[in-house]
Amino acid sequence: MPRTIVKTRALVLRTMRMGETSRLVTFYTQEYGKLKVTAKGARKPKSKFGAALDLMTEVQAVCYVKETRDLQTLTECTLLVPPPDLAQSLERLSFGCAACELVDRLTIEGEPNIRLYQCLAGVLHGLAEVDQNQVEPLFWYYQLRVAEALGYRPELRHCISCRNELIGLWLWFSAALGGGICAACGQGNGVRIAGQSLNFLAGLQGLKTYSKDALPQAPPRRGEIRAALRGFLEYHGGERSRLRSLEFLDSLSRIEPAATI
Amino acid sequence: MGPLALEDLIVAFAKLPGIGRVTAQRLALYVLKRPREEAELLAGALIAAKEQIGHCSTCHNFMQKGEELCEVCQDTRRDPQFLCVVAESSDVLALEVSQVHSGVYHVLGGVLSPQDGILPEDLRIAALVERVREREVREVVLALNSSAEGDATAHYISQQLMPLTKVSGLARGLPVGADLDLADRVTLSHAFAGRSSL
Repeated sequence: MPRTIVKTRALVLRTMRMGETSRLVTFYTQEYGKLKVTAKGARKPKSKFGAALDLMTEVQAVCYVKETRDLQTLTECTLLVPPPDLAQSLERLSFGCAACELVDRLTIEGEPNIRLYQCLAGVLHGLAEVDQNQVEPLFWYYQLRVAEALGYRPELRHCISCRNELIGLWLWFSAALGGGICAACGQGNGVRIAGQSLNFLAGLQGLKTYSKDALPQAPPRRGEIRAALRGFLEYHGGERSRLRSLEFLDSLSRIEPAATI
Repeated sequence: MGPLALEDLIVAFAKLPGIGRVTAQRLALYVLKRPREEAELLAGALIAAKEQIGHCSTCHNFMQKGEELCEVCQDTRRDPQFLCVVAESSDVLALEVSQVHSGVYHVLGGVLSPQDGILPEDLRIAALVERVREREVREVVLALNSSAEGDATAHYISQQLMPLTKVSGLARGLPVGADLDLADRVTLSHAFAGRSSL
């Protein structure tokens, strides 16, 4: 691909101001993976890109690509699916941003992964329609699906050491070993986690859709599930997979009563 | 490698937003070609701006240091109970050029951004709420960019201000002079939703 015009479906992961009127846009495309482009004049009121470059929008992008450049040029962009309406809730917006950030952090340019693309499109659609108590389980489901799409699906049904079924009040979860460990094998391996929480995650892993009807309500012990999944992705993705959007959400929960977010 | 002073000048220019090494080098060489007086003018303007420009204690827009308030807040012809909230001082400049707002301003200092970690406490939202409460502001216009983050900020602020005053946002839709058939569906849906009687 020395110099070529490419046309692909894409999701907007991130946009930044660039120069006086342009934007630097990070896309996750169906056919070319992550792609960074400059959208010249995108901030002008009469820009040809219109509302197509807002965060989380799904578009048909036409780019002029030159292999030797890190930053490509966006020539056309047609809006296909508007961004989910998340402005009413900072919590939902933060999870939407975190979903985009996760893909941005865990992928490199030029490596397409259609399953990852579908995961992101699915979670963004789901965030606008699920009930308040399903928002975080939806994001956990997305984290599990992303891990799977990238090739490190955690084992949540059977002990990764003895292969027995994971049953018990208290179990263990190890990011390094790749999943749940029974009480007998787990002493000192990873973090202690309630059997109910691990079963909840196993249930999520078995789902096939991001729809509101399929997703369960959040269980009582949210904190340990949150920590286990974050730890798992950070272990496999390294420091880069620490998500600012989730840290934003943590800070927000500390300063705002839950009802207002 | 050129003289050290030239390199320092290039590095200084390259620190400016949107300016890379090549542009910085071009600017530095241009400055060297021009008469000494022009360079002194530039250097003087930079120092003067840093020394003489501060932030208005009321609206947080730029103002001349030594004054108590900025020009807009000092102007008695303006309506202090009609408040326009903007993200940055550059937005005040744009609105002032257009002469559409007869009231005063409040500069937030940005918008909420999960990806950049900008929290409500990082913006001047608490000061805004306090100002609206104390000055008995009649109406607050949220003039923020139309984006996911701008909308979320507007929603967050409106929640804080709703019990205190009337809160409105800017109209959205087709830009003046734009062709309807070229507009995207989001722009058209905003334009349609915000239609007004003629």
